[in-house]
Amino acid sequence: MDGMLSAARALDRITRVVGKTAGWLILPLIAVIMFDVVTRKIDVTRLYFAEWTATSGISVSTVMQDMQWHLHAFLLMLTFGIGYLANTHVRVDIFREMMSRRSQAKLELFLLIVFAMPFLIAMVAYSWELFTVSWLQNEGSESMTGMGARYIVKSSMFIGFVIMTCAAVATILRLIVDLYGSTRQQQEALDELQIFSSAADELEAARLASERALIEEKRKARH
Amino acid sequence: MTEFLSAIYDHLFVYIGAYMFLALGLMLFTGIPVAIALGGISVISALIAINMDFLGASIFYQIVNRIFGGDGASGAIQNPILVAIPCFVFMGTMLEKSRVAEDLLQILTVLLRRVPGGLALSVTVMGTIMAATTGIIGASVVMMTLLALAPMLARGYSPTLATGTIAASATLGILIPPSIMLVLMANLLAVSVGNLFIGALLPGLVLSGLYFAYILTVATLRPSMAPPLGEHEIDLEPYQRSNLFLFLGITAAGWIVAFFASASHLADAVNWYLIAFLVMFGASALVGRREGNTLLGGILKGFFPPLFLIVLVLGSIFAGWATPTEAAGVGAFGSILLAWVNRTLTWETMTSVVNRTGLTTAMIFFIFVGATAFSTVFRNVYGEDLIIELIEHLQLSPWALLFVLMFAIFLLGFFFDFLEITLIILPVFAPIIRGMAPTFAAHLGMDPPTSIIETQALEAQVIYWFAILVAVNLQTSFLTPPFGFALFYLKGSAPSSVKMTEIYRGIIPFVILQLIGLAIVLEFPSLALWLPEVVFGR
Repeated sequence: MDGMLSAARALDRITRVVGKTAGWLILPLIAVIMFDVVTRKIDVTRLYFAEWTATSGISVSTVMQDMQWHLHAFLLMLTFGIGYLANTHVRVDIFREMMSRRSQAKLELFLLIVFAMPFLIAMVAYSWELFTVSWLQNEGSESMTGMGARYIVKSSMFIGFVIMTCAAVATILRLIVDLYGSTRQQQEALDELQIFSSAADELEAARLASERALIEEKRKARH
Repeated sequence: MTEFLSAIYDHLFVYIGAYMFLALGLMLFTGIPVAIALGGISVISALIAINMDFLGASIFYQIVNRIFGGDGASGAIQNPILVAIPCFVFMGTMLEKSRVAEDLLQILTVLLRRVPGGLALSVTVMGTIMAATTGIIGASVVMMTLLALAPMLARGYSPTLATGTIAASATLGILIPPSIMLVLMANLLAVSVGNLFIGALLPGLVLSGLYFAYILTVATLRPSMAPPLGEHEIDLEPYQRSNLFLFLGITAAGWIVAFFASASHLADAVNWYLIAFLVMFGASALVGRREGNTLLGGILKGFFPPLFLIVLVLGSIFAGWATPTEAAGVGAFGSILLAWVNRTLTWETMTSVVNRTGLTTAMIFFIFVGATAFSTVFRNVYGEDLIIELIEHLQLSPWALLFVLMFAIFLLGFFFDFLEITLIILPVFAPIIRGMAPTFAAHLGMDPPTSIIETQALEAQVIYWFAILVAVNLQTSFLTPPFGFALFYLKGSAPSSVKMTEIYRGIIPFVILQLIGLAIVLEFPSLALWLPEVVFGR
């Protein structure tokens, strides 16, 4: 059981590091869009780059536009796992809220094994195929002047689904420990699990904040 | 026994698509993440279908290929349109966390201090301007509650009016552009995002105008529900004349230079009027920062910059200078600049905005991926034919069918966020709507189509109209008691002295206004279709 917990911790760590790092890709994405927009709207740079395309065969603007969805690909695929661990994925919570925490755990464990794992395994296997096919063909861009090496962006799907699988396996391990471990182990597993209606916690924090604000505002209004 | 099995086999062969939907309905209510339910059901159904020799194993390859996109397919990855989504999310989150939204509300309160119901009106105006913020219902409602509820309650506003205003204004974000939902809809229905944005603008403004009129009437007739602010509450320091002249001077100089430059031989070098606008934008923020906390300073640094940012984003789409994706990127960049001018661009703000953007992007696109898997399998087991057969079997007139669809969406809105509804339900409804297009030609003021090109143009118009109807409808659904889930988030984040019954009573007038708005868009499609026609031509 302790082994399972430390394995879960390792998987959790990988998922979070990858997810947090991928989140920062939004900044280069914004920079690339800004660069593309600005250089295309100003005559001097536009003409300069057009000349450059004529001599080198690479269109800066097309590369920048390819770059946008390449960055977006990694941003969206690599954050799935951390999204699951942090419980930000949309759930329909109506009936789940009424269940005890233990039955929530059992249900989640069952559904992860029966639904999530087949899905993730299929996606990992076939996105690997998508990647290798592209790699073996040395696939490039559709447009002559775009970004080559299409297999790089195709790897984002494989990596993303692997990371999401890490998150799912980490949660499965923790749920098993939470359900069947010793009291101490259960507590540890529970501390590390965020999947139980944490939206409620966030709302509770928001409610406390508005209670405080109300008192503060009332005090201000009286003066 | 074998007969029995073969009967089951035959039954499944025809109805597997229907069972997919049934299973989905059941699975969603277990509370597993929606994306996992979608993905799990599609893979298991695909395995069953493969076992029946209905499908080949290539279905899985087809799924990943469609998630990747390319070849004109509306995939998640190779799709320049969807890049706008993380950018808009970033922009909204940045405006919220850098307290630009808060400052906007504050200055609006000051500006509207003499108007009856000024506080509630400022919430409505802020909801209209800040519609971009996050666009996720729960987050918007919680943010608005935190910002606006306590000030209203403390000044003696009735909890019913206060909560109604907040819920209605916070949900405007799904309709008023730039809205994430409209980006997703345009992508799924294969129409132009820019066109849909422009189409949604007037209906959105009509709705917020209705709210505005209602609040003004209530506050005038029953001042006890919305007492005026005391004079002592807002003490304004006198502003410095020099700063006002500085701002006006820079702005005027910018426009005059732009006017002469665009008449000169430099006309084509850059868009001079855009430069003049940016100069005005920058001058407003910087002079406002110099001016400080006076009325003038508040307007220059709290009111104009977010307004100009939204105008810049929407204006550059409408004027055709930028694609929605580019406009979103520019908007995101602008939000960073606003935070910097506002002196709130710290490392912690940036980290929390980036993390939040990552999580929200993951949330939107994981459902997108799950829904793509689902719809790929659904289409391959001929599920779409089942739906079309069902519709034909019902033998409804197109108008009746439209009402049935709208009612179904309204009911679904009680339980699901717009993400699930747009991504799962709309692709199913889209072919039905396209099929109904010729019937609605007269209602939209168009001639019956005679050629394929005309049919396509008509279908596009019907889809714009339908998308906006769905947006207003969903917003209404999110507000309707007892299930409306904006109300649930409002109750959750409001001080416990606010009772659920007060929230219900407060929202009812707004639901009625929503229904009026819906009826207006239904009866006068030109409200949604006229502006795009003016801007883009037909």
